[in-house]
Formats: sequence, C-alpha cells, structure tokens
Amino acid sequence: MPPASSSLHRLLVEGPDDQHTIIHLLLRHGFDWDDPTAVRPYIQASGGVDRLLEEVPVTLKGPYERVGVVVDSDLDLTDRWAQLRHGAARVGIALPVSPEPGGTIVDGLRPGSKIGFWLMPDNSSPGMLENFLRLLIPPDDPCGPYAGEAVTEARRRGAPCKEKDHAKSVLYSWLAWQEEPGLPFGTALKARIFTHDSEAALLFVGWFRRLFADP
Amino acid sequence: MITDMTISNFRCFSELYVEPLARVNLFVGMNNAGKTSILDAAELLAVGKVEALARSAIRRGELILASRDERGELPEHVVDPSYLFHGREELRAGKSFSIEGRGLEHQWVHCKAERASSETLIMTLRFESHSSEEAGRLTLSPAGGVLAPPRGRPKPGPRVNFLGTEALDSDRLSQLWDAVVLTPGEEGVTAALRLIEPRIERFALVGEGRSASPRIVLKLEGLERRIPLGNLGGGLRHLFALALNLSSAAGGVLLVDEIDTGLHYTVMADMWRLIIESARRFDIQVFTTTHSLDCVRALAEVREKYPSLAAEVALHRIDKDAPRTVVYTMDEIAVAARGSIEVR
Repeated sequence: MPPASSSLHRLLVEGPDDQHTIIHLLLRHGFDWDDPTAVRPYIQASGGVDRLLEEVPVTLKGPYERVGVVVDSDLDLTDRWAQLRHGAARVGIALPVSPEPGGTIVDGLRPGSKIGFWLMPDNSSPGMLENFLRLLIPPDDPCGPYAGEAVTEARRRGAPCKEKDHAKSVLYSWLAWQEEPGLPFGTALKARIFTHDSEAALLFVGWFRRLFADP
Repeated sequence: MITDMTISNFRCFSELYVEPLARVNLFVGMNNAGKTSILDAAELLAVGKVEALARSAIRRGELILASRDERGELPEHVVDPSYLFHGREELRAGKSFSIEGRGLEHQWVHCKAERASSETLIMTLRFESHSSEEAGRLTLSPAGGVLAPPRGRPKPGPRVNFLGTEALDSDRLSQLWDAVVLTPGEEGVTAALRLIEPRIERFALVGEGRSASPRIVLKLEGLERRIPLGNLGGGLRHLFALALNLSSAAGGVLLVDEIDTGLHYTVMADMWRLIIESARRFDIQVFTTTHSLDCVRALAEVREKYPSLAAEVALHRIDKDAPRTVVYTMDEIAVAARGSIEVR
C-alpha cells in the first residue's frame, strides 16, 4: 500500500499529472512505494498552483519530518520563487535568494526536519511539468524535435492553442504519435515511452532521494 | 484573560512561551508533548493560591504512600511535589519553577525548593498579581511528600474548573449542580444536552443527601419515566459535564483535557459553538486539549458558519522541546482542513 495521508512525510504537488509522473519516474528508479519500512511521502495534489501556494506555509508549520514541494515555474521562475520564499518566511523559514539548480533543501521548523523545493522544469528555466517531460523524450526519438515544429506550424495555420502552453501542446502531440496514442504521463513512463535516466530525470530523482530517502 | 504565558522548569517544559492566548485555546501535540501540563500551568496561575499546587498532582496520582497520623488516621492525599519541577528527578534544594501570565492582569507563580535544616526541605511559593500577593511555605515530610490541603466547598469568586477524562464523581456533581440550579446556566446545560438528544426537556439531580451517589436524571419528551443520564451514553455524559462546568465558571477559567471525549464527529462543530458562546456569555477563558482531527477540523466549519465565534479561538501545537508553540490562524485551519494537512 502506498503511504497514507497521515504520513509525516509529504510531497505537495499541483495536480494528478505531477503526482503520477513522480510516482512512475521513481518506480523506474527502483523506489518501492509499497514498502512500509521505507521513508515514503504521501503525495498531496493541491488542485492548482494557487491552492498549493496557500498550502505551503500551513504544511511547513505542520508536525512533518519531511516536506517536499514540486511546483511549476510557469512564466517567471523569479516570481514563483519569491512567492514560495514569502510563504516560508511567514512561518519563520528563510529560503535562499534563488533556488539551487539541483533542487533546494533546507532545515524545517521542527528539530531534525527537512523541507525541499523543486521548480519545474529544472529550477532555472521558466516552464512546467510538460517542459520537464520533454527532457525525458528519448534523445534518438525520430519525432522529438519535429513535435515542436509541428505545433508551431499548427499555430501558424490558426490552431487556437496558446504560445504559453507550447510545451503542453508539444508533449501531447508527441504522445499522440506513439504506438498507443495519448497515454497519460504516468502510464507513458511506466510503458517506457519516456526515458528515466536523462540528466533532468537524474537531477530530480537525486533531489527526491536526498529529501526523503537519506537519513 | 491571560494573553500570553511563559512557563519555566515546570513539569515537562524547561522553557515554553505560549502566545497569543484567546478566549478559547485548543492545544494539540503528540503524546507526552505537554498538553495537559499547559492546563496544569494555567490552573496554577488562575487559582493563584497555595492549595492549587496539589490539584494536578492528585489528578495524576503523583502521591506518596502515607502513614497514619497520631490519631491513627490516613491523610486523604500526600502529594509528591517533585514531579512539578522539570526533569522528573528527586526534589533537591535549589530547584524551582515559575509560570508567568500576562493580560489585563499580570500574574506570576514562583516555587522554589530550599533547605530548612540538614534534614528538611521546604517549598516556598509566591503568587503575585497586581491586586494580590500570597506567599506560602510547605514543609516536605522525610519521604518527600506534602499534605494536600483538605478539599472543601469552593469559596465565592471566579472559579477554576478542571474537567478531566474520568467521569464526574458525586461530590463534584453536587457542587456543580449547586452552582447552576435555577440560574440562567441551567437552561444552557439543557440546550447543550439537546445537541445530542433533542427530546430532552429537563434534568435534575436526585438522591443528594440521602444517597451515597446522587445522580442526574432526565425528562424526555413523550416518555413518562425519568431516564438516568448514564443511560444515554458517554457523549451525552461528557457534554453534560462540559456544560455544567461552563455554567458554573462565570468570570473564571475552564480547563478541559480531551474536549472531544465520546463525541461523534457530526456534533463537533456544535460542541465548539456551545463552548465558545458560553465562554463569551459567562466571561470564561477556556484551555483545552485534543488528539482528534475531527475536533480540529470542526473549527473550520465553525469559521465558515460563525466567523465571529471562530475569532475567539487560538490553536496551538506543542512540539516536544520547542521553545514556543506553533500557532494556527483560523484561515490556516481552513486551508489545512481542505488539503488534509496535519496540524496536530
């Protein structure tokens, strides 16, 4: 059984896509979500970035031993980091001026507790979960780069998708061209359509393990 | 009303700052974090008299096996005061604790163990507030005990009621009944009982003076017989004790250990409403504890339905060995309830 919501280890994410991506990426790295003896976080999907930002300070105040937060940078990483820093400062936790490239981890309020932040896609660029997943498209994939060109061309021809959602459109287009078209992210990871050992994936998994698995 | 409290070397706290305190204060935290000790500290401060020292020790069974006095009688309680001091060691000269409360009135309790002779330890106590000052000395027996002052009828003035998890004994029941019967508080108690059993019309204490165990009976709509309170279950008994304690503590302080005892989650929000409204009406400051998530989440429901009532509540978590409590605002409690975020 995966960890219960009462677990003192908690990972806060925006929605179910983030949740399933993380679960299946970690599974491919041998992480056992069902092992009751392992330190495993309960993954709480907040239901949007606004809710998540509200929940961050309340969770940081809680009796948790480990808290992780995975959130999209969206258009401006500096703005998003400032929002997180503000929320943490409200409960008395000082975050560094800018996020660590390999994911930020600092001490929590309770003695011995740790809190971590990961800004999608890579703690340094604007973007979202879908940008991160684009980095998990196999480098030798015949249609990887083409997906980007196709979306640009589609928009030129009048497709209503927006520039700010470019990464989303690209990823869903690419997923539509697989043997089983349109698998959800977690399932596509499980089906090995995405790689699990690109540089971006390894950095994320490293952050996750440092936060939750290391003593 | 106390607005903040500093506890030093008292029970499990080496140093703890509790701020801000509201009219109704709920304390959560893990087992052995010190929830009940906060109630003990607030009680000492609120009672402000030497006799208060023994109260928590008696509740906790921190007693010394007593020998018979010169008339061959056993004293009711010989209290072991060493547990009041931080560290759970045997009491020695030089150990002390203090509790300081601020608010409209500044209150201070200080207790120190000193050596009176080579064999005798004494405890000196000072209770200070801006309107009164009391000092006392208690001499410890060779076994390290102090005789608890006899429990008499409560003196007039604001009361400090402590409601623990055990059932009310008949003495206590009679005392509370005396304070409430034929006062406006009596109606409040009936209203509280109706939260669980809407058919309740009246209640009364029967058998006082004639029987060893007076008991509460209820009149239920549509029933000829009167029904013993105990017949209607633990939740009703607990609400009754709560309401009776509230109605008889006007102008004083109510301390409740595990406020949710026996209550189903569906009545939790109403229970809070009862507590907060009564505390307001009778000008009582309430200190209480819980382990129940439903009990905390019900505060979010109170906030939504009765925002002005929710504004009277402070939620504190005590973390073991932390120098201050973690305080949640009502908005934060609502966010926590929505996101299933742990606050306890």
